[in-house]
Amino acid sequence: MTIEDPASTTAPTRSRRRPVILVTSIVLAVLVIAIGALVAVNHVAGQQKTESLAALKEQRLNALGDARGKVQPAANAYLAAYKKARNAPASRDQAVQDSQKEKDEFQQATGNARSALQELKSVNGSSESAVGVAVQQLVESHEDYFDYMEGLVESYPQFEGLFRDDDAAGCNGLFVGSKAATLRERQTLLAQAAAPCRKAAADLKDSKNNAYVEFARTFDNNVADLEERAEVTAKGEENYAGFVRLKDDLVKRADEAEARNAPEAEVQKIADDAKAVNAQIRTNRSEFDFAAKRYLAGVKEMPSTVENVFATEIAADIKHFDAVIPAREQILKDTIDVELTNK
Amino acid sequence: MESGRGSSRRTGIIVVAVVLALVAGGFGAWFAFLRPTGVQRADVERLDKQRGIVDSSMNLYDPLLEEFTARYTNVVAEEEDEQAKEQVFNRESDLIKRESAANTGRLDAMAASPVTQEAEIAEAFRRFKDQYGAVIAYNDQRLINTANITRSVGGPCARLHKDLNVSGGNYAQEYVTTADSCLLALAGAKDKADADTVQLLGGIEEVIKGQRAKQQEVLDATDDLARLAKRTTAGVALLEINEALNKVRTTYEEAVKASSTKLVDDANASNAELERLLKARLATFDAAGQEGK
Repeated sequence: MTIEDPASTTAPTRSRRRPVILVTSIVLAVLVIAIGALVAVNHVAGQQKTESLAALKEQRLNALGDARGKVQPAANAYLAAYKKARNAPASRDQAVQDSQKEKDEFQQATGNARSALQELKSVNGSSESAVGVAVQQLVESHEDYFDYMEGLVESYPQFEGLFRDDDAAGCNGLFVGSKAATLRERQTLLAQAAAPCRKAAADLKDSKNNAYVEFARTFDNNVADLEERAEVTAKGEENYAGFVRLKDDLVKRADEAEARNAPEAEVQKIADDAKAVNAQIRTNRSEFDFAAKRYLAGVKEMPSTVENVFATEIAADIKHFDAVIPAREQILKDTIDVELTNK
Repeated sequence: MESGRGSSRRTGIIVVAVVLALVAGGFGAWFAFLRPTGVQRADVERLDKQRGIVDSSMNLYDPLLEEFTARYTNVVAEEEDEQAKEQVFNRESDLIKRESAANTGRLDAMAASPVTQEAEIAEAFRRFKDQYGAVIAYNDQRLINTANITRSVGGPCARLHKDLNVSGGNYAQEYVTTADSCLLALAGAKDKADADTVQLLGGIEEVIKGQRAKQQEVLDATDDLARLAKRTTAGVALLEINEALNKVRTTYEEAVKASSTKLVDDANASNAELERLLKARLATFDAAGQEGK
């Protein structure tokens, strides 16, 4: 009973082994198919990635470069057209209308450049990879540049009109020197001109173009300084009239004291008062001179502060973009090259 | 009958299994043997290109720092609103910080190349990584130095020679008050600044402190005659202030120039050495290719 027939045991074992073999082969088959699929997908994906990187380098970057190259000439054309219209002469609104064509063309140019940038951005979304980082840096530099140029164009009528006779800003009203009979009058005229002018400067501080913004900050402070100095000089002039009265009074008192042979103490008192008035006159004089000198310097500097915006500041900013953007482009191209070098 | 059918099905299954195993083994072999192993020519080419990218990336620091200085100087000098200053500072400094992060990432990517493990390359690469890492760190420090100098010297200290009336009656009092806020700003600016910059700020501090003391003497003088005398000495000392400040500034500029020149020279040398070795390594592949033909 204890010894079993060997034949009876082998049959169930065999039938139990069959599904094991079946499962094993299915697993193997699935594994092989999976590996095959993985290799194929990998290969195709790699191929696609290579192609898209090559396209990025060859086509999209060139397209972006071409589109970007049209932005600055379009901006220059607009600035020239607007200025010409304004010099015609024409009002600000009229000049805006007359330069509408150039403005449209500029917007067209930046629009194209921005969509070329968008195309490039869509190719490589991941900011983790080396190419992603280089794309990101290139995109940011371009966006800064486009914002800058848009701000340059959009805020130009504001900037250009600051010193025009027919403009609401009326900053040329700041140059009141010859129109005023007294320094108080100068101060009043200046304050009247400064209010709308500083308002216009404050508006310019919201520009997308930092050259205008920085100019507006400096200019606003310069005008504030002018106002302060106009007040000091006006006050100084008024004080001076008072000092003349005081001095006349003292002279009268001294003559009188001498005539009636006044006691020593009274004469001494008059001398002390005279000394005090003299000190006041000196202080007044020094404050007046300081303010007057700086008022004149402020007025004299103003035209060059305005001129420097285009002559120095904007020229320097554009030089900056001209240095950074091509460098970013080259780095992106080289980074793509690294990626394309066969593994 | 039953056992015969079973054995043929078993044979079929075994055949299928063996075929599958062979196919799988084939893939294994393809992965193991046909896929290139060790350092390939392409690896060296890639590393050499990465080296060029890191090197040319360094050229961007100068324009970016100039941009930072221009934007920040204007807002510090002309704007009273702290938030506006903060905004400009954050935006411009963030740009440079991300620049450095990208450059550090590029160096790390190079370190991951198998080529840098090779004995003859490893040492040159280590030097390259150290030198360029130092250039990156130096530019990060330049950002801090520039910001600190702008905030103090271009901030409260600028008023000392811009807004005060030297011949005014209360010049001494104004000078002392303004100098105190300037000195406070200078002391704060030393925080996180490098040794050269701390020396610059300390030098300016000395000059301003000296002037402040002289103006304080004017204030402390009890009688008019003594005050006049003190005022005259302080006025004469004021004439020397520019010379003293220029000396401090020149010393600083020379120190900065010397240290940056050394850094750039060292980086260039390590770059040239790594480039030479990588080109030599490429030549070994060319030689091997020639032999094969």
